[in-house]
This record gives sequence, structure tokens and C-alpha cells, in this order.
Amino acid sequence: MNAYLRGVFGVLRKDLRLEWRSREAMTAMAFFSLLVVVLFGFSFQTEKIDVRTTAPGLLWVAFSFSGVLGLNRSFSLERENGALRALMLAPLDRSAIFVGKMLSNLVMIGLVEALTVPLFSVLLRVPVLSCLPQLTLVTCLGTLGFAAVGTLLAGISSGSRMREVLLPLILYPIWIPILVASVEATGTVLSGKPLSEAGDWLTLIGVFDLVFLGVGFLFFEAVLEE
Amino acid sequence: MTDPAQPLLQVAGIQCGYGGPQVLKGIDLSLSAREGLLLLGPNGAGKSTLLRILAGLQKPGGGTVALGGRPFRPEDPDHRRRIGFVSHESLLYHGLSGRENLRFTAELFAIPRAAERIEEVLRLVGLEWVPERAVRTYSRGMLQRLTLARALLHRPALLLLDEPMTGLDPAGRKQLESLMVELRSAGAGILMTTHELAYVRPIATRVAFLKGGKLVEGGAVEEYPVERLESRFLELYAKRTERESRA
Repeated sequence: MNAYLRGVFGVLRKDLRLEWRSREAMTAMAFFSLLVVVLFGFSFQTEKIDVRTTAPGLLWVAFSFSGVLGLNRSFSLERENGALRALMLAPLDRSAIFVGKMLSNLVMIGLVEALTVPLFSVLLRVPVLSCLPQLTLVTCLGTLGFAAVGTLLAGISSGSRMREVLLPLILYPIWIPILVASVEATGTVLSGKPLSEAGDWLTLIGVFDLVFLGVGFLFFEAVLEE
Repeated sequence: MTDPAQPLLQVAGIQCGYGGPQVLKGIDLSLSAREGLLLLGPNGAGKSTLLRILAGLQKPGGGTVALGGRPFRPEDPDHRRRIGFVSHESLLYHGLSGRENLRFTAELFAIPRAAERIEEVLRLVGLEWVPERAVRTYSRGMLQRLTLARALLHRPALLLLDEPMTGLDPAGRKQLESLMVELRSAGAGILMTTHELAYVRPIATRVAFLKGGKLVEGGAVEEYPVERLESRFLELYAKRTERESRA
């Protein structure tokens, strides 16, 4: 394995191992996400509204809110005891650190989403089994963009004392294009329509994913330097 | 590649400030292989700042740094591979065990036969009996030993040690002293800051005093027995100490 990939998988393994030991981020994210779904479930009279138009938004709000908790935790671990400096001292392309941390965030957010969807389905009475592959594809694409831009911005905000507040403030406005596209694509999928009808939205998500990955890849070194 | 005929480290005119008065006002120094430079100065003199700059963790306001005769470029992996850095912070993940921390470092530095090397450095720092324990359960001294192990793991040519004796018991200090003398004899260059003058004197070949952002005095360690080191320290920084006492 070349040095770059070794660095990527080293950071990924380290992050997942730390999370497996403490389960702090996953527990907080999962509870928060499930709580949002439960609150929405009890707040809306699901018989009276078309949950197929409202539900996608609720689902992505739950994903977005819980995801921020994980992103914040991801970099607070690096700031404790100066561990981020150890990463900077390593003879490693800094973009490999970005990719490793982005992948670990992607895995953790993805796991929380996998826990959230069944509860969402039960409480809001939205059948998801029939469209599970399509829903998985939309969720993966949307979450990739969220993890990419979120990892970069979490790196920027982690140096601030107000990081818990700062990250959502800078992340959500940038994340809106993918959020809108993901909600629309999820609505199409949950309505039982073919995935091809969400083609434009999926293309938009894909383009933003590439842009956010590229920006993170190019500018993470500058973020670390700051 | 670096030029072996050139000093390991050459620093010229390094300046640094944090938006206010300059902390470092033009530091010039050089360090060759098998040399140990003891950098002395009171708290806040800029010793840690200088070491962070030399480790590539902070950009200087001015001046140049050369490693082995070539301009130091922190973004160059080959340059980073030559440096081992011990700072005030442990730079470790406290949720991982000692061995897991070293394994992660070995992975990032692509150290060949990593498992053997990890056992070797654990023995060198006297932590071979607790490698599986989570670092958060380590005492201050054990943490410092592991911090040293992390810095030594990739066999750096240049060791930058910021207060390396902190938290170590007398046995640990003696062990570190022997280890550093051994590493220096084997060809490493060591630049360190400390206030534990008696313990680090055998490691050093030269001494330099930092005052007002500049190196104001220095020489071979033989010219500075421990008593003279202490007395010169007090003489040079007496006014500052008085001022601090009044404040």
C-alpha cells in the first residue's frame, strides 16, 4: 500500500477505534437523530398530511442535526492533548488526513442514518422497504457531500472556543444546495417513482459532492496551518 | 538529499510575534550532528515558540531555517521525517493504549518492521510493562515517557525537546539522560529547553541563553558547570524576576 493510502486508512482506523472505545459521538448522534424523529412523529398528525412530501425534509433535518454533533467531536479529539500537531508532524500529505477523517465521519453518520430510517418509517408510517436501494443511494450521495464539507469546516471551526456554535452556523448555509437536492430526490424515491425522475437532483448532489471533496482536498492543508 | 558537510540545523534571523511585541527578534544558531544545545531562558522568553517554528508547526515572522544545508520546507515529508518533537502537550490520543498510539505513529511514518521498533522504544523509555493500558490511565511521568517514545520512533536526526524532563521521577530523568547521550553519540542533534539543569547538562555540548528575543550568551557546556549555569541564569534574568515578583 502506498504512503498516501496508508495515511488515509491509518487515520480512519484510529478514528473508528477511538469511537468504538468511547462510543461518545455515536451515542449522542443516534439519540439526537432518533429524538428528532420521535418529536416529529408525535408533533405531526401523520394521517392528515402527506408524509411523502413532508417526511423527506424531516429525515434530512434529523441527519443534518445529528451529523454536526459527530463532526464537532471528530476534531475535538484531535485538539485534545495536541494530537492534531502529531498529525501535522507526520510525513504525510495533509489531504490524506482530510480523506481519512472525512471517511470516518461518513461511516459514523451513515451508521446513525441506518438506525434512524427504520424508526422514521414506523413513526411517520412511511414504507421504505420497497425503495430501500434507491433511498440508500440518495442518502449515501447526500451524506458524502455533508461529510466532505463538514469535515473541512469542522477543521476550521475546531480552533475556535465557540466551535460547537460556529460549525452549524458556517456549515448549514453551504450545505443548503445538497440538502434541497437530497430532500427532493428522497421525496421522489419515497413516492415510489423511478429513480430516473430524480436524475437532475442526483446530478446536482454529485456535482456538489465533487466540489466539496475537491475543496477539502486542496484547502485542508491551509486549514491545518491556521 | 541533505548535505552531510552542512550543519544539521542552521537558523538565521528568526523573528516571531503574536500581533504584539516581537517574542523572537532575530535568532541565529546552528547545530551539528552529535551536538546537544541547551537553550535557557525564563518562562515566556520564546523557547517553545522557537521549537515550534523549527518543527514546522508555526510560521516565523522572518528569517530562515535550513536542514542539512537545504531550506526547511515543513510541507516536505522528507524534512518532517528528520525531526522528532516533544512539546508541553503529549500529542497522543488518550483513548488509545500506548502501543496503539505508537502503532498509529509508525503507520504515518511508514516505519519498516514497526512491531519490533515499537517494542524497542517501549523498552528504551521503560514502558514495556504497560503498553496495553489506555494512555488516560498513565501517570504524568509515564505520559512523558510515551511522548518521548513517539518522538523517537522514526529515528529522527534532529530532536527538538521542550522541557523533556517534566513529570519524570529521578530514575526516569536518569534514564532519559542516558538515552539522549546515547542518541547524540549515535549521530543525532538535540536542541532542548529545560530548567532541570543538573540532569540535562550531560546531554548538552553547548549552552545558549535567550533574553529579550535574542541569544545573548552561550558557549561550550564545559564553561558552564551547574552552579555557573544557575548563577548566570539568575544574573541574566534577575530584573525580570524582580519585576514579576512586584507584579
